[in-house]
Amino acid sequence: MFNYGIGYICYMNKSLYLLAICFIAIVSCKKDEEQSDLTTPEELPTVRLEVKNQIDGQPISIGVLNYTNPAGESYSVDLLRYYFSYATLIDESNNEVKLNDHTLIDAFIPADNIISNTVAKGHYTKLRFYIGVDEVHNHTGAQEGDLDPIYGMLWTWDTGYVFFKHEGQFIDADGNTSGMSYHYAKDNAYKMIEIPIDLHIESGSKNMDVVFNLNDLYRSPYVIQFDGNNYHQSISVNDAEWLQQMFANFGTAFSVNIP
Amino acid sequence: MKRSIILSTIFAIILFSCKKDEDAIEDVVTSGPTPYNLVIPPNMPPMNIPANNPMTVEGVALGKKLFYDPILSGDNTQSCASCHSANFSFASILQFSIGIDGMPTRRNSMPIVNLGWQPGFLWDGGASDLESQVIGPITNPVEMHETLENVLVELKEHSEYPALFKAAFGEDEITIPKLMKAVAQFERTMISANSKYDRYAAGQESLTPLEIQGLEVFTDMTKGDCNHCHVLGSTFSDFAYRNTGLDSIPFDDGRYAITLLESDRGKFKTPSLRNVELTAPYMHDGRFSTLLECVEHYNTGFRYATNLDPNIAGLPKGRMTQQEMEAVVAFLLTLTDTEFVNNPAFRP
Repeated sequence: MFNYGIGYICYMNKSLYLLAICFIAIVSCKKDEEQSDLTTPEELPTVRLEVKNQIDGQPISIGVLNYTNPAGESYSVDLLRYYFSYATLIDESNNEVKLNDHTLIDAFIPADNIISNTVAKGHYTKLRFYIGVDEVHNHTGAQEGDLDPIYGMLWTWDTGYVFFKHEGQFIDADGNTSGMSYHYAKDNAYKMIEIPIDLHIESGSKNMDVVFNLNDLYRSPYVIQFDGNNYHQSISVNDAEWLQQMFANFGTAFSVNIP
Repeated sequence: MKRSIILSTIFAIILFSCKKDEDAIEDVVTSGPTPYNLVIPPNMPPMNIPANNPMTVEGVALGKKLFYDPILSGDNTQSCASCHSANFSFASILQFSIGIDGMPTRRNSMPIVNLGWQPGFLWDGGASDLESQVIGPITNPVEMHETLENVLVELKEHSEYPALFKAAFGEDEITIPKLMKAVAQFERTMISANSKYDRYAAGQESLTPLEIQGLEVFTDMTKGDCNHCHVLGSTFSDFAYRNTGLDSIPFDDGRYAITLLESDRGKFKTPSLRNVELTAPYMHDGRFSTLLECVEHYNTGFRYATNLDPNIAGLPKGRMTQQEMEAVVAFLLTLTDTEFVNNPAFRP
């Protein structure tokens, strides 16, 4: 770029030199300036949001029939994964700070369930987030990061992400152990959740736990029983009622704990 | 002399103050992938290329290597080309392809031609972009039956792929999205627009009287009415989903499985007719082995399914004579593009 600049300068008189130099220097170094802006932050406070998964207060262990759902059935969790998207803090004046895009929560990889971001000082009164992947990002798999198809959340025959997966076993009414698999998906299952909070952020870092209680997902407002209802993939009209119940129940399954 | 001192001072100042910028530019010049100049034939519309997957020479070359490499299948015996052979316009002569476990696919292998203009992929449009389609056959148990995890392990341990991915995408890590993008880039280069019909339309070649008659029947709304869906000209399809009355009650839900709309039951994507001579057998289930059978289906064979396409339902049966149907077939054969199927750029 500046090679052209020098070439032009040779044809100019001296007074234009300075102008040209200033112009070239400003234009060609714009990027540097922007970078130096970024490297001098005013020490913004940090919010460290951790999504914690549990079942009625118990930690979740993989593959043990230790848990009892609200319908009274013993069950296990072999896999529990979901997309926790666009977590946003909202202050008293409705200013919003987005903390993440799409984070894949895995109940058995707690280290991946932490979202850290800088926020402005203030009094935040609401946390908003979504379960699933928004429509814009839900219909292509060529995405890196937590949307990478390698995580097994993308349908390959009907391009779209499974928003939530719980796979495990349960004991049915006859006392037999059966498999269960819930794959919650499709654009209209994308669920917005808003939770009132009282988060004062002054300086330094602040922790906030978002607690997901798997049993609440199967409790309220609809009790979801596994027996006779143990296999839902969101791909059939037979899944419609279950989808609608899950959609409603997600609204009661999360709480916020600010230590 | 004075001037040269001033100039060199300026030079030094600018050079020094802009060091970072200069480095960045050099990086791009020396190690970045080379943009691929995709030539769109004058008789084809502009192609929409996703902003997150610009075509590069290195990306296309990588995509081609992956397309022909059995490394993508579970036992490393099948590549994409196993069921998408250049000789058949990148389709298969089998009614149903046989995957690595000896299991048949559910539907007939689709040709790969002019996919850069298609809005949806697979017979039912389930794959919503070309990139996403790529991993379907790799992971399908009745096709290449491989896990994405294994694909990554094998590619990362390979003697050539790490360097090829780096050349194509400028990053060290091989990922599934990069694989999807590379194969899609290669497929977007697979353009066919130089059939006898194209040369006829451009005034460069003439059709025989039988072919001309076939073209007329093809477009005649009281005869073939093929043109309604297989739009004459560039893509030879509007790519809409239709129930063409193959069965009165469909065996295969088709588009319904994607949309769950009752009105989509038994609907399948209208395929392009380009190179149709080479892509037998025909229909989503490969039930017809000749083009004449296909034309005959639209003439008299179609069944009155509840959601039969209105363009078909409105036409009387038996409206074409045998001779007219043969003329349509003669016209369809003018859509064969031998330059395309023989193009070494698309062959291993």
